Amino acid sequence: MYKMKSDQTDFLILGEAVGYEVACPGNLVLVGDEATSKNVELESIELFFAYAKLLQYEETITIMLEDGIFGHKIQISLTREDMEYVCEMQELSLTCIMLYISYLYVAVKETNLDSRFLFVDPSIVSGKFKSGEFSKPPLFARRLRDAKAGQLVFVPYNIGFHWVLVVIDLSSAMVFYFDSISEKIDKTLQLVIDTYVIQLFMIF
Amino acid sequence: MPEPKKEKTHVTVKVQRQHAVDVFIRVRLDLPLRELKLAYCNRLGLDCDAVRFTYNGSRIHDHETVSDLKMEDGDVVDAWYDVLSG
Repeated sequence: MYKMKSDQTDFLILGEAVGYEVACPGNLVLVGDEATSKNVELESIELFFAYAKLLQYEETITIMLEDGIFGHKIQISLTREDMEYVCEMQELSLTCIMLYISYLYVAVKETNLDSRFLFVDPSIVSGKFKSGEFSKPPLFARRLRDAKAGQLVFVPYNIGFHWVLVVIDLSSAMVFYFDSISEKIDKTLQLVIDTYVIQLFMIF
Repeated sequence: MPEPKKEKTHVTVKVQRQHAVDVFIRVRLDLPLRELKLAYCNRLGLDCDAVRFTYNGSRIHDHETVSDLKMEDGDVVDAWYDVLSG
């Protein structure tokens, strides 16, 4: 059992909403025409499966992601392992998430709505800090500085073997936390959001 | 009399990873590259199973050596650290 607030009750300030699970407003959900796309989907899944079979263990597919997606150019490498995980419906790797976002970006760009969305590179917010790495919060803060008024900021985050999504709605100053296994809000993530996002809301 | 040219025994390669500092590692020509992977992971405290190493776009096998891959001084090995989840 968990508390659920309907989207009719608006939170005046962010503090009120923290700790609650808020029903997703209908305008954030896009429902496609599922019936017609089913056959196409099945075909493309089969194609993907065949392609994964052909790929050798040592081969990698290097993909350049343009700077419009995450704010800077990024090179990712897709390996057979990543594809196998997807085929067998196992774990999702960082590469898959980033690749998915890049496709999402292309799809959104076609509808000329790309200025409404801002994606944060999942690799700069996820994972524990390791020596030799650049500190992550400044990278995150730098990315948030690119945000413009009214945008939706997407932050995919790995809380340790599980992906969650945080969507920051700058037009209504709300933060949505999407978690498929309805757990408590991750403490570290909440701290990061509290520190950076409230500043962001003050600017807009 | 000109000195006989010394045979090259080591190369220095650069290991780079996104959002991390570059690490330079000097490797003997006939050393299996598993050692390079271990050295890199040990230095940065990473789990070696979770890091993938590629050279010119293809995965590096544990048993391969620098001379197998014809690496030269200053060549770049890419390291990819993966975050997995369900």
